[in-house]
Amino acid sequence: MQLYEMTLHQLSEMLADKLISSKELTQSVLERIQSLDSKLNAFITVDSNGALKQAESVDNKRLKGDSLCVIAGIPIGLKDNICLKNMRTTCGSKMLENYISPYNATVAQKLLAADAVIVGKLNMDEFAMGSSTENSYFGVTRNPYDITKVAGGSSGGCAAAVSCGEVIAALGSDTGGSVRQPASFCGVVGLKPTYGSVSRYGLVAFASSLDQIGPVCKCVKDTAIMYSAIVGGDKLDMTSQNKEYPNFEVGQKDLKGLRIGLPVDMYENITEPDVLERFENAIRLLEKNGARIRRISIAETGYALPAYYVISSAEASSNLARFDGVRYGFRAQNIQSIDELFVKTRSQGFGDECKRRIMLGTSVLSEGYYDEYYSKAVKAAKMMTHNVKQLFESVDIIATPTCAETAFDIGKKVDDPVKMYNSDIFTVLANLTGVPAISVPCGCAGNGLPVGIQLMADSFCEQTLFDAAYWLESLVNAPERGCEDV
Amino acid sequence: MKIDVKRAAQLSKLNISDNKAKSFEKQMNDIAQMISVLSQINNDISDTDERRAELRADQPHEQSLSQQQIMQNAPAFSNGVFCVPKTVD
Repeated sequence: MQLYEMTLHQLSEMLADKLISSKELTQSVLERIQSLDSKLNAFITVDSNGALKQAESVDNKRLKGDSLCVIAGIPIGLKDNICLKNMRTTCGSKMLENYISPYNATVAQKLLAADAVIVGKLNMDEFAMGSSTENSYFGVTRNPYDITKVAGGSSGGCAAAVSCGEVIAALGSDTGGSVRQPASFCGVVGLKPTYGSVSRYGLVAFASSLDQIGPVCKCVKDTAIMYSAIVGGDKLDMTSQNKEYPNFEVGQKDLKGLRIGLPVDMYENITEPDVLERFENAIRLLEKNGARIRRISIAETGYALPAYYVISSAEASSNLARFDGVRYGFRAQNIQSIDELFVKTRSQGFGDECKRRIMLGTSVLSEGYYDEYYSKAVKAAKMMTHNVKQLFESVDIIATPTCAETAFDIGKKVDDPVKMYNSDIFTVLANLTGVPAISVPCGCAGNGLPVGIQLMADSFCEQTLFDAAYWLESLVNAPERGCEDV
Repeated sequence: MKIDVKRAAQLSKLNISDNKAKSFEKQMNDIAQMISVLSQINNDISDTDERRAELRADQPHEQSLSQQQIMQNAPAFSNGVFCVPKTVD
């Protein structure tokens, strides 16, 4: 087995036992990038020299006998909306094509403090708006299982890179499913943590009340390790929560008595029978091993997708107002007036999906529509939060498929935004209600593409998610990760 | 809700060509149709007290970037200020 094929926790043990060096491991993933990424396009920026230098530094610390963290020496990728000092942070946009971040995001700082090796920045839909990574200014990321299919989005670069061993783990961001949906499409694990449990400082804002940074990993145990590395309050993010967070682990608890709720009325959204079949098979295995399954109904979920697109677009229209060509980023040329500067810069700097969302957000916040759409969307989100909270008094987990389908053809939905938005039908609920959710592979459909199951738990109950997801992973035949001959 | 793309673009400081406006018009009104279900929500339902995060007082922090660091990403910067086209005659 090649080093790039192994999991974070396996590699961490080998590094600690000095069976391998971080430099060897880093070289292994860099060679993988070199051989595959011209086909996959998972990376926007690769920092080979910086990564090798950091790996050597960690190796020296280890040789000196320093006490090191679990992720020390592990090659990790960051979605390109997470700031890393002195490196480009493009957000997949022409607008920030040449923007060099002058500071570290809190999560990046935490990884560096733990001696992780940051290999580079990963492709994404422009400003995290999309479900296929087709909206990237730097080109589409292809699915390692079938390069004619999308990798999902918006963190498509993270999922594709982890799936085929271009990095050992990655951090993405999830506003409406952007970690979980690509994880499902690429056969890896993706976590959207509880809102407020991970600092958003240094994450370029899309929709501030919904955005969370979360790990994309090869297995549940790795995900628990990565989450433990980034969780915690931060004075630089006023929505982050100062709490006592445990060190998250897996395999400590069995499934006996775990109460799992199935919102069966949502299944009508599933468009591929194989997805339902794989999902039901996974649920049967959980039940056989001690979980208690019950059917539930989540009131008002019919409003979830519309409410999500109204709230996220409204917040995006405000957050993206800062891109005006004055202080940083792209500036249009041959400008005569300040108004022309704003309009031409934004018209030339943003892609079509950003423009659609800015215009939608501006419309629902404008006079006459604010009460009818924005206020009602916020009301719907609050109602759903209340209903979900009540449900978690009688179940520990709510389970759904992560997506209604497997990875779709590149180009299939790009001209039909509503069809594309439907990709998020199962995932937006966790963002609107703030609860944590994880996507775990549960086998492949007949077309050979991975299927993911989504587990949601009550706020700050990530340990419950890891316990259930770990057992699920061990019971289900996971799809083989990556492909030798992409 | 009917979205007038030209009007929405104007409010958003965007310029959409006539050709592009046609496809945007169709796509955005499909989206408007999708979100129209929200109008069924009764405004009289009292708000629940759900919040995603606890609010706290704003506090200034000492951590800041230097002028040099800020200048590095500016399209045009001179004598300590951002440069823009003439705004006052």
